[in-house]
Amino acid sequence: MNALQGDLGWSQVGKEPVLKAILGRFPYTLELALYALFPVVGVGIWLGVKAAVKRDKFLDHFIRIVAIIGWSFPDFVFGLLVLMIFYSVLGWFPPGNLSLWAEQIVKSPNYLKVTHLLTIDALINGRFDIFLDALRHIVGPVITLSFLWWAYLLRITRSSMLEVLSKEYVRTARAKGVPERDVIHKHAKRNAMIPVVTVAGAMVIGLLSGTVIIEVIFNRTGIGQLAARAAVELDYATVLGTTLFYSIILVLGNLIIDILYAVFDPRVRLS
Amino acid sequence: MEKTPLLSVRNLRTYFYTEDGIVKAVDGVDFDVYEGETLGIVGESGSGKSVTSLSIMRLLDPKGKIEEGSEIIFNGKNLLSLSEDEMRRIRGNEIAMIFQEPMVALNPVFTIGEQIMEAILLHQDVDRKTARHMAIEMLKKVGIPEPEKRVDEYPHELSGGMRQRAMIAMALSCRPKLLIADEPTTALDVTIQAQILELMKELQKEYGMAIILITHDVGVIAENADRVVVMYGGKVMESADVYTVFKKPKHPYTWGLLNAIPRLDIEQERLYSIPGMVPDPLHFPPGCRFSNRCEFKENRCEIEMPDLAQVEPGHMVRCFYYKKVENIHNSSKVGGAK
Amino acid sequence: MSEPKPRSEFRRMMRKLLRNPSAILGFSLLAFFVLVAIFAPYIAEPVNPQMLDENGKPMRLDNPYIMPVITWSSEPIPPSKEHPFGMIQGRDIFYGVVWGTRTAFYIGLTVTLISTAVGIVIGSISGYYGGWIDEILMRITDVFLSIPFLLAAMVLTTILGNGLDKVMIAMVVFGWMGAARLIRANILQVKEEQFVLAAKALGIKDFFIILRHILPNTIFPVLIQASMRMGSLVITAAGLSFLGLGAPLGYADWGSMLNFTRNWILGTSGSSMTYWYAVFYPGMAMVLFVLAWNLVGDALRDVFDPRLK
Repeated sequence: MNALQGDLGWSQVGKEPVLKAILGRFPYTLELALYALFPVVGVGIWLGVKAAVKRDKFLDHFIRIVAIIGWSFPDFVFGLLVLMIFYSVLGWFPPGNLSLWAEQIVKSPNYLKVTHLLTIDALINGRFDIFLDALRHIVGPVITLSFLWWAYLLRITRSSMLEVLSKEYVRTARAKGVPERDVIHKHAKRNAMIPVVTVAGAMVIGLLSGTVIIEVIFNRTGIGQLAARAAVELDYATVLGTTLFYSIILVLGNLIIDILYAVFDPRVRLS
Repeated sequence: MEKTPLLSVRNLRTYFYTEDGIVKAVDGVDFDVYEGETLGIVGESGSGKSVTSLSIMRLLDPKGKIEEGSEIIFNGKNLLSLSEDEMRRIRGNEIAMIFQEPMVALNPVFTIGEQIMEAILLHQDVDRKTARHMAIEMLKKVGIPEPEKRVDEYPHELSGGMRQRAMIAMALSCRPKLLIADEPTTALDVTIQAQILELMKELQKEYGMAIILITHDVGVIAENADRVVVMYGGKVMESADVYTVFKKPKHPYTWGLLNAIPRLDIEQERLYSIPGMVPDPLHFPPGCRFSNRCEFKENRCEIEMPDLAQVEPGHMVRCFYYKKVENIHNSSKVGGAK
Repeated sequence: MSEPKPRSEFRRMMRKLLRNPSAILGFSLLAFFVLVAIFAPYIAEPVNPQMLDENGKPMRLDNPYIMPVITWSSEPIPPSKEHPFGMIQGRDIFYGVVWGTRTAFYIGLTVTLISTAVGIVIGSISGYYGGWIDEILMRITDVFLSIPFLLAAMVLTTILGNGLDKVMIAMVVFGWMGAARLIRANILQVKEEQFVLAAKALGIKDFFIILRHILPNTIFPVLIQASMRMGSLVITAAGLSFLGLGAPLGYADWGSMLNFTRNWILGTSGSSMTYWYAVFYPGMAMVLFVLAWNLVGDALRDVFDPRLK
C-alpha cells in the first residue's frame, strides 16, 4: 500500500503529487472553516437559547422561521447571491484568495510563512494592509458557510434547551431561589450543551463538505476546489486522496468532540 | 388558645389554560399550617396536591395561573402580591422544597457541594469558604458518611437514598421556616423510606420548622403527620387531626382510601378498592366531584357541590351524607370488603 | 397487534396539524409543486419553436427533459412576454424551472424510497437478530456515517462516471444509515413488548413477525425522518449537478441551470445586477421546494413524534 507511506499518486489536476497538492491547499480550507466555526457556534447557541426561553413568543417564531429558511437555502444558491450582492453590487467582498498586489508580496521570498494562514501570516509580517485584504476575501465564503450551519445548531440548541428547561432539576434550582438568569445560563445551558456536542460531529462533516461548493463559487484555491475539479475531470487519484484527507480530519474532529463531551458531562468522565 | 398560622391558604384556585380547555387543577383550597407541625396532604394523582405546593412556591409552568381572589399568607405576607424578586428571596430561604425523584431533581453537571453552596451563597452573607464548611456540616447532619469527600461528588455517584439526603441538606441549608416535601420517599426502597422520614422528623424537631408532607401513601401520613388534608379533584374533601381522620373518617372518599390499605389486624377476604377511576380533570361530574365513584351518593350529590363544613371542632368535611359513613363506624369496625 | 390509535386521537393530531401555520404553508407549497409537476406539459409545452413539422406547428420534443435551444446567443436574455423568466444559454428559464420540478420530485422520491427501504432491511435484520450480525452491520453503518456525504458521492460518481443516475446511485449508497439506525432502535424497543413475545411463543416465523408486528409499529418515525431528509437530498443532488457531476448540460434540472448562471453572475461592468433573473428563478424554485419539505417534516415531527425533537 503506497498510500500508507504517504504516496497518493500523481494529481493530474494539480500537476504535482497528490499529497503535495493537498497539503499546499489545506491552509486555505482550514482558514475558511475556522473563521466560519466561531459565528456558527456563537450565534447558533445564543439564538437557540433565546428562542427556547421565549418559547412560542414572537421572538421564538421569528428566529425559527429565519432558521428554517436558512436551512432550506442550498449553499450554492446562497453563495451566488452573496457574491452578486456583496461583490457585484457593493464591491465589498471580492472572490479569490487575495488581490493581485497582495498575492505578489505573499509570494515573495522574504515574506514569512509561519502558519500558512493568510490573515495570521499577514499579522506576523506586520502587513496590516494584506491582513485586511485577506479578510475582505474571506468574508463572503464565511457568511455563506456559516449561514447554513447556524440554522442547524440553533434548532438543536433550542430543542435541547426546551427539554432541559422541563427537567426537575431546573425546578429545584428555582425552588432554591436562584435568579432566572442563572437558572437559564448556569443550570439549564450546561446540560443543554451535552446533546449539542454530540451533533457537532455532523456539523464538522457539513462544514467540510460545504467548503467544496463554496470554494468553487468564491474561487478559493483550497482542497475543496481541488476535489471538485478532480471529480469533474475524473482524476481518481486526487479525488480519493482528498476524500481520505477529509476523513482523517473528521476522525480528529470526532476525537476532539469526545474530549469536549467529557468536559460537559461528568457522567462520561468516570467510565 | 388561638395560634396564628405560619401559612394560610385561602380559596386557592389554580387553572391551567390548555388547548383542550381550562383544567381546574386546584379549585378553591383552604388550609392552615402552624409552626412546627406536619401537615399531610393526601390524595390520588390528579387530585391537585402537587399543584397546590407549586402554587405556594409560585413555580407553576407558564400555562398555569393562580386566579384572582386566591390568597397565600405566609408569615403575614400575601405571597401572591410579592414581586418575583421578593418571592425569589423567600424560596429556598424561608420556604424550601424537596421533590419526588432525587435522581432527576439534582443537576447532573454540578457537584453536590456546589448545589448546596449555591443555596447558601444566595441567601446568606458568607464567603465561599464558609459556605463550603456549612455544606459539609449539612451533609454530616443528614447522615451522609464522609461528607468531606462526598461534597465534591456528582449526583450520579450517590445512591438514591443518599441523593435524597443531599436534597434535604440543600433544602435545609438556610433553615427554612416551612419545608414542602412532595412525595419525598415515593421513589425510594421501603427501608430507605423509613430512614428518610425519620431524618426529616429529627431535623424538624431540631429546627422547629413546619412541614407540608404531600403523598398518596396513607401509611406515610399516618406515621408522620399531625394534621391531614384529604384532596380530591382539586378540592379539599376532609381535614382534621391525624387521629380523627384515621379513626373516624367522615367523608366517603377518605373512608374508601383507608379501606384500600391492607390490614393485619382484621381478616379481609378481598382488599377494597374505590370503584372507577379519577375522572379526567376536564370532565368532572356536575355536583360533587366524587359523586360518580361514591357508594353513598344520592340524587342531590349529582346536582350540587357540598360545602366544606365543620362537623365537630377542627374537623371539616365536604359531604351532605357524612352521617352514613359515621353509621358504618358504629355498626361495624370493618368497612368495605364486599 | 398493538392497539390501533383511537380515531379521536388521530383527529386531535390532525387538528393540531391544521392549526400550525408553518405546516399549512409547507403543505400548500408542496401541493403547488405537485400540481406544477403533474401539469408540466400544459404549463410549459414540450415543443421546440425553432423546428416546425409538416403542418407548420412547432415539433414536439422526443425527451421533454432536455431543454430545447431556442436561440444561439449564450448570453442571458432578460424576461420578456414569451419568456417570463428570461433565457440563459439559449434556453428558456421558465421551461427549465417547470420541468425541473419533475426532476426534483423524481430524484428526491426515488432516492428517499430506495435508501429508506435499504435502511429498513438492514436496520430490521440488525435489530431483530442482534448479536454479532448486529455488531457487524452497525460498525458498517458507522463507517458509512463517518464519510462526508458530498465527498463520498463525488468519489462514487468519478468511479461510475458522471450523470444523474450515477448521482442517484451514490446518494442511495451513502444515504441509508439514518433509517437503519432509527429502525434498529425502534425494533429493540418493540421486541420486548408482549405481543411480539406472544407471536414468538406461537412459533410464528421471524420474517412474518418483523413484517406483521414490528414494522407497522416503527414505520411512522422512519417516514417522518425520510420526509425531513427530502430537502437536504434535493440540495445535495443539485449541488452535484452544480459542480458538473450530475445532470448533463441543458437538462431540466435546477442545479445544472444554476451552473450556467455561474459564468454570468458578476454581470457586466457598470450594471452588476443585469442577470439577476438567471439566479433568482431557479434559485427560488429550489429554496421553496426544500422549504416545503422542511416545513412539512418539521410539522409532522412536532405533532406525531415529539420524541424526535
